[in-house]
Amino acid sequence: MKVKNKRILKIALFIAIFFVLQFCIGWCLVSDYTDYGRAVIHNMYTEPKIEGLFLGNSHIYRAIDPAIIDEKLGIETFVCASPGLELDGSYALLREAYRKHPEIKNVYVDIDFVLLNNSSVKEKTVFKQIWRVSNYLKNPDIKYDYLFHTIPVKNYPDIFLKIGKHKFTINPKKIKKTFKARLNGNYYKHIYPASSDLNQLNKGYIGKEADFGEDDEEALLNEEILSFSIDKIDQDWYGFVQNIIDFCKENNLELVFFSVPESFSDVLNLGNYDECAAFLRNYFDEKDCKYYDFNLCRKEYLSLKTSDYYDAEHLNKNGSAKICEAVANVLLSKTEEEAKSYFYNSFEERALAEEENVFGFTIIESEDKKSCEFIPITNKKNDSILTFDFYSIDSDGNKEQLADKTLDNVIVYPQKMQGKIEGKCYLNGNFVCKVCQKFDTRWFK
Amino acid sequence: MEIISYKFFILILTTFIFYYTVPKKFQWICLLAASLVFYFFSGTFNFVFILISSLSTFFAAKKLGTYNIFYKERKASNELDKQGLKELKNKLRSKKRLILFLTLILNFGILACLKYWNTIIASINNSTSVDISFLLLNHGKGLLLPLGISFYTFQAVAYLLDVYNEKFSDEKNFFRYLLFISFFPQLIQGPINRYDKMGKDLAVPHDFDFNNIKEGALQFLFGLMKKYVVADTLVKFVDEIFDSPYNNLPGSVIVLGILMYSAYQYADFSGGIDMVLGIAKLFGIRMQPNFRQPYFSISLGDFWRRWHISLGLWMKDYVFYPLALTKGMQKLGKSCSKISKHCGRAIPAGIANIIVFLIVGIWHGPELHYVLWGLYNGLVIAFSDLFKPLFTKVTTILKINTKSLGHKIFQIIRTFIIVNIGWYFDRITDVKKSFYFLGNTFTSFGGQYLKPFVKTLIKSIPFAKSKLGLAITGSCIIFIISLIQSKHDDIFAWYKSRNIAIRWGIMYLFIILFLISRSYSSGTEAFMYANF
Repeated sequence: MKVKNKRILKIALFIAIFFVLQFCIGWCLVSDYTDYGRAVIHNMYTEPKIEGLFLGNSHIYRAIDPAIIDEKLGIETFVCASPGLELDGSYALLREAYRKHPEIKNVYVDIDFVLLNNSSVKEKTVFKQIWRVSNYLKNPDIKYDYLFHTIPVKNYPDIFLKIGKHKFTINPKKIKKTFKARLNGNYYKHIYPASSDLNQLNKGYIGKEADFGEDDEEALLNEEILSFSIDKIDQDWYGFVQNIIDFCKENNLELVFFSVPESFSDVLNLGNYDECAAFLRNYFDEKDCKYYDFNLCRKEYLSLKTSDYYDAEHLNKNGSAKICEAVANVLLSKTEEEAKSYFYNSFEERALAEEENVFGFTIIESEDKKSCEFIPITNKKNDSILTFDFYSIDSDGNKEQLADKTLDNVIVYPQKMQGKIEGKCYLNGNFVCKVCQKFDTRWFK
Repeated sequence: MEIISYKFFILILTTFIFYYTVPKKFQWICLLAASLVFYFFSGTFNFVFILISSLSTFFAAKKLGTYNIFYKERKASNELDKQGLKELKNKLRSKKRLILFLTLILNFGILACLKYWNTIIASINNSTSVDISFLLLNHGKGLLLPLGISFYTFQAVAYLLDVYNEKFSDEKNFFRYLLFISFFPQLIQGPINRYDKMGKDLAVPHDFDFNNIKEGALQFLFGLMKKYVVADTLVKFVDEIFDSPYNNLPGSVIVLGILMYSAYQYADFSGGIDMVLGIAKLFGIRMQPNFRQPYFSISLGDFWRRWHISLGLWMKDYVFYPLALTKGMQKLGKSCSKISKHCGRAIPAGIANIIVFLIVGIWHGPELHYVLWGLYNGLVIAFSDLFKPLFTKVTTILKINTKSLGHKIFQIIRTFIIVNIGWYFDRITDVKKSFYFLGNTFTSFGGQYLKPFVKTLIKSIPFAKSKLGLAITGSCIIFIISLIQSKHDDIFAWYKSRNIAIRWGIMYLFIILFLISRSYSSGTEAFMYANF
């Protein structure tokens, strides 16, 4: 009996020491000193008054500037968002914020169409965006309700481990920075390094400067291929939206859903955005909820150029000022009809209203990595002609022309070199834009 | 059913509780039930194959056993004279051979069909004008082999052959035999166990021994660390180097890739085996070890006595020796002994080795690169054995102290290089490319390209630096433990002799590294030898 008890005690001690050890190691590895989520939730707690709450992910905290919105709407707003956050996280933040600020009367939720097909809980494999919020929620009931509804069952142990999946990164520089900040107290006082843009955090908003360089424009014009399908919208997404709607109804909060506009080329490149737009419009109509899709905002009320973005999904300060103006005007509309007058009926209509142009490229490299195809994202008419000049630029900056005013948008890389292909695009003979694609053919015979 | 999953954990826990609480005579039934549950999760249809294998070999062995007993009884009864006994023996031998032959054809036939049929039909289709694509299974799409089919087929055949050779008597209880074949830990990727060891071990009662639990848990955790911290973090690097369309990589990059593959393959395979052996130990079952610090081998032959040991032993007992002892080989040996006594032994053994390794290569897959890999290993072993007297003479002339540490290190490094050359053919699926890369290793090393290539590689793989850091840490730990294992016959005895802080520290190290690695691996990398 004694031996058995001793053994049980040993096992319990082993487990206890393990938890302490993993906690200590996790504490060292978690380098969240300059994490946006941590900063914004702290700010939400210290904000004296919040009447209007904006919820979403990085789209929203780069776009909605309370300094502009508050003046226009005449209320104190706050942007409570976090990078990569989905609607389940927005729901958790809504409850957390409302518990701290029962004076909240208006809730504005961003609907990111990119996440419509990525909301399945059981298929989730990345959890960083979840911990960014859950680690700082002060109410355990909200925190654990969020976690147990958003983390797949097989990953529940990660909830209780400090070194759970994606709770840390092994980045010696960041770890060192966080450690130093803990030692000098800056971490707990939320005093950030001078270089951190968190110093510009204003009620959840951080504007990105519009210092648009050539490389930025080229990067912006190089688009990823996105896709959307109504059939692939997971049941979880519907559940998350319903939770928000129910919460707002229970607490008499005025709820507005809206979509911060992505870059025109991103949306044009989707190919079937109108399917997405119609789905969202009908869905929110059925739910008797207001929904404003700023991807369809009329040119005369919101004219966003490439230079208003700093990447395909995020507005810079210039763009932010424009969208805030548009959002405020729509929200201040006296009637729903007036609000709807700010929008096109479809993205096709918007595309036709835009001047003929090339808004970006999707560059697809061949499987053998010996060539690539520059697929223009354009609203050109059928009889308009696109031609290309292609150049190769080696690592020393030497430029050589590969093609001149060609109709062919496929270019074979020069052999045995490393560099980039510069593609200049002409619409009806007029230069519209250029974009670059890196290549490396040194490792081919 | 994945090893790291709730389902598997619940299966182990439930089986464990029942195993040590039911009357000892029913313990084997618990393991059988767990094995069947585990196998059903892999696919109900797959169960048909393991059943066919078990039933055919069981009843064939039963019949062989009957003949063996019959002959023994007749011999003991003194009813027959010498001539009569001889005739009876010959008669029974023919019958036994027929049963053996048919059962082997059935079992290997199923395995060969599932593994190679589509490849053979596709090859005939592509190289001739005859269209026989209608013969393709599953419309030519890849077939997922039933879980563990290679391993349990070899195991069942070994049992049958041992009964045929009267090494032991046949098992009378089909369900005990089924347990031996289907014991769930070995289904994932071996080892190939023998009936006279593990079969008997499964049948005897096992008392609860906390030492087994400790050893099993430790071995499982070590395997877990190898698989997730080293193998899963290195796999993307290896794939980026060898599966890219680049066909003229500099030798330095190729060597880096091969070294990574070397570490990856060992960590994945031996890690999986450690996990499996650890699980079996929880129930007091000792399975055949499959690795013994293979990268410390002093020759290629030694390497194959330390790498995938159970397959090596199987090939030795059931292919090499029967081949070497055939009349043809013995005749060849006699003729070669006219050259020298050594040749008389080495040449037939060399031919047998080449055939064995060809089979091992083909077992890996019907692709040419596997065949070449097998042939390479067989030829190197054959020729190194053949020229052994010459090497001994050279070391004597050069006055090399073959017992010195320096010489041993030289042998280890030499063997490591020889093994890694073999990995070129194993990993690089395009044979032309593998030869070209091998050539580049020696003629176009391009050391100056290594750093820029690695920089590009790091940029193309998410969290590459963290993954490399983990892989290097894990590899260092494996190296240290391998050093300790090489100096101590029983690593667990060494472990138990350490103080509690070290013992617990080692376990914590494995667990923490595994947990950290989860943030950097997808966790869905299957074991290399699963579904073989």
